[in-house]
Amino acid sequence: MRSGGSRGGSAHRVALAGAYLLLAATWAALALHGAGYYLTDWGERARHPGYWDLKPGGRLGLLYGYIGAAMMTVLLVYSLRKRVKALRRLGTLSKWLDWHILLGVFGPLFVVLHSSLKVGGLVSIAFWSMLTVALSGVFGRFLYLQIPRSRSGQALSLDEIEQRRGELEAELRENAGEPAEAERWLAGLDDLVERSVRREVSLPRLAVSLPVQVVRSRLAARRLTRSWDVAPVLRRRVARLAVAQVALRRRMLLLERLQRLFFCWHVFHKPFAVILYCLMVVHVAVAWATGYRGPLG
Amino acid sequence: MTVACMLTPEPASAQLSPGPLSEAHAGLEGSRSCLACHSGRRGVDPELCLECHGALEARIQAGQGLHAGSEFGACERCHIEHQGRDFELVWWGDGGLDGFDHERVGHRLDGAHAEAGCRDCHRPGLLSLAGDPSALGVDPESTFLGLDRSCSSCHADPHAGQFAGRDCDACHDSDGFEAATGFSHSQTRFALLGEHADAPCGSCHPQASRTADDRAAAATLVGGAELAASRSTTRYAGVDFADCSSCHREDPHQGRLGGRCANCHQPSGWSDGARSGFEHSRTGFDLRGAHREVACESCHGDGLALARPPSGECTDCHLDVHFGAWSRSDGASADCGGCHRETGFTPSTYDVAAHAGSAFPLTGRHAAIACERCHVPVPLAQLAGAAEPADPAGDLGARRRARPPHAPPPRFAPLTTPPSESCTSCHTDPHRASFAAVAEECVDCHDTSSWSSVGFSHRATGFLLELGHRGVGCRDCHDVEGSSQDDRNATVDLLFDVVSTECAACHVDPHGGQFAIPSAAENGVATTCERCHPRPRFAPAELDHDDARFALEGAHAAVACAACHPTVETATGPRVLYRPLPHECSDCHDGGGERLR
Repeated sequence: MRSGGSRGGSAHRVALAGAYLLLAATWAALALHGAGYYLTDWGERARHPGYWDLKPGGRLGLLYGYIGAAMMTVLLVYSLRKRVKALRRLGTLSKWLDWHILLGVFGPLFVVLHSSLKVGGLVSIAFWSMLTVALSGVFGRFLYLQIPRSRSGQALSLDEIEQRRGELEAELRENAGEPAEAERWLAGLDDLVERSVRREVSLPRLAVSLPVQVVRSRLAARRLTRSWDVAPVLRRRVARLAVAQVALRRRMLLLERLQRLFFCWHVFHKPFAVILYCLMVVHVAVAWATGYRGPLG
Repeated sequence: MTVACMLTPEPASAQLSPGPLSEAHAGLEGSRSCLACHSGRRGVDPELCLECHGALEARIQAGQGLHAGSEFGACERCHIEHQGRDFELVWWGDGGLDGFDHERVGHRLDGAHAEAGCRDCHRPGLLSLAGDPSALGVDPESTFLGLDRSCSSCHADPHAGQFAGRDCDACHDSDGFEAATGFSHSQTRFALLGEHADAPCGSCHPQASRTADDRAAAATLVGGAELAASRSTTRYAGVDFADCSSCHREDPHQGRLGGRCANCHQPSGWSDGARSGFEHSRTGFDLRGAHREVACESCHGDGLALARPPSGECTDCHLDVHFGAWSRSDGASADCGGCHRETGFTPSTYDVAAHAGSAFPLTGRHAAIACERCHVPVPLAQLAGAAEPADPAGDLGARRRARPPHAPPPRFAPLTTPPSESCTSCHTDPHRASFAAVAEECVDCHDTSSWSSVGFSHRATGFLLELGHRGVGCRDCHDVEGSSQDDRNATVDLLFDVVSTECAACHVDPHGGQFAIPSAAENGVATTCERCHPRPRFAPAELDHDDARFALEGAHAAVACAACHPTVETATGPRVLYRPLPHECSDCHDGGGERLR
């Protein structure tokens, strides 16, 4: 069962990486194709040879808009996955999130091509809402990782976290050899966490300082392992265990704060997403009403 | 950022617009007006555009103008909107308005039109819109609609309606009005032939006045300012051309020859036309030779006042350079054609053969010499039978006298009568009548083949030239006393004096008169030279000393002549002494019988 899940996870990662590469290459090629037009001053664009293709209502521009809108519509399936129990059989939530993020990244990018970097009026609200949602999605993904989760993506309970912590300590002790040495390692790691984690800050400051704390604690853990007497063949494994131990300890310490921050992020991410989708509907409706239907017209 | 966008100062109605409309469509700004131009079916819907632009719709439906082309079905392809107030709604291409290819509207601009500015034609004063401009969605100041392609819609009519209903470009092209390159007078009912083609238009087409209404109507059109100031125009239509006199009002013949000018004259020219158009042979006098080149007025007077010369003779027109010398005995004019042809006064047809019919046929060298050598100019009074020709009556006579003959004036007065048969009537007698005694005429000695060919016989003088005299030059005997050697050598001055037949007339007596017999001459007895120098050679003969007073006998016959006839010195030089000589013996011999001296 475990090995089967590993094969499934590997295939997921390959498919995901392939999709990222394919979409990134496609987007880059399209951006390069239209670079001459996109870099032309707005006042001169109407005289540019690519105007009738690349303007938002142009042949390609509308196609980009449809692709972006489609991606941003499909990614909403992730929300269904979270809420509809019947869908739980269709892969883990983390995999759904991966595809959600993929579509959340490239959907807006295609919309950027559709807009040809020219936005105004109501469309600009939709546009910037879209970018806000997308960027907040990136931060949300970061927060998501800061909360200990099972392989299926479910948040672990405190007991489950403690159990995970015990497993990591056991592995470190196995690699330390001497019990005293193992205790010294664990004490050093605990001390590092205590020093690097700042729990008594406001949520906004935490949101801002958290990425820094994560990076600094990872670097500090790696430095600390260099002072340990570890066989060279075990050094990388020990370092990884140490980083994981520090991260788990930090997450345990910040668990409550992170959960509150993640809740707040949802409050930030979802309203803009709602605004985005509402305006997108209005925008598409107006475009259809004014005859800009493109390939679907 | 999103919040900032939401708080944009633009009215909510503008939030759906992709950008501000152009100035021309600024009145349509706002979300409520989207469907004024857009339709869900066609986007920017041309039908919606044409609801406002009615003037354009009418032209499209009529298939006229640029917008009627199938490639211009989508308004937005050229008139791009939502680009801001200052955006040029009409895009003329990279070349701008001046670079617009007017042929795309179905009306190619060439000639002077190509040089004109757009607003020279597309201006309010020339528009002919079918309705109120504002109702048609047209701004007269900026529209390019409303022009009629007819020339008269823009150009003032310089002809003041004379050619109403006709196409201007049938005569004029767009390079300029003045040239009228398409006009050909041959297409009219009066083709311009001959000199008519070179005549200025105004010589036949008079000026006609322009009405005030016509000038006022032209004022606002192209070129109308000048026409509005002009009160007249050239009258092209309705010009009477039935008769020549419609234009040629002055009849040079003053009506004497009738009104049908074309019977004699051609359009190629007044004179040339008359010559080519009038068949002079119909008058009984066919024009041949030089007569064809002579202006009619030469015979018929200025203005052809003289319809017909009086007598039909050559002298009606020509001055008789022979002054009547060839007039016939009955007083009629001479037959000029006997010697002259109509190709010219010279050369004369009177040649050597014709001269043979005269009293003096030309033979020998006479046939080769120029006429003037004999027929030298002489004063009229000296011409036998010459008379001043009768003075023709009327203008012709006066004109004839005043006008020199068309042929070269004669350099000589021809002999009116045959020359004297005497050669000296022409030739100077080089002998100065010295042959008068022996020859009556020159031809007795000379003929016409050559002067040097002399047929003279000395026998006619009674003095036959025998052997001794044949080798002697004529001049040795016939020398004029006092003449020089040059005179004698001159062939033109051959003088032959009368010479005595006596020997002493020519010969010097070498004997110094020893044999002179004065008494014989006085008694009619010939000189006795021939006693010793006999004919025909006159060589000294053998003297028969027996005939002398002293016969040579005996020893005397063997004595040398000089023994008795010595050479003595005389006043004229040494000379043989023949006489007188002594005859007595003692005159020569002494007593012993020896020769003493």
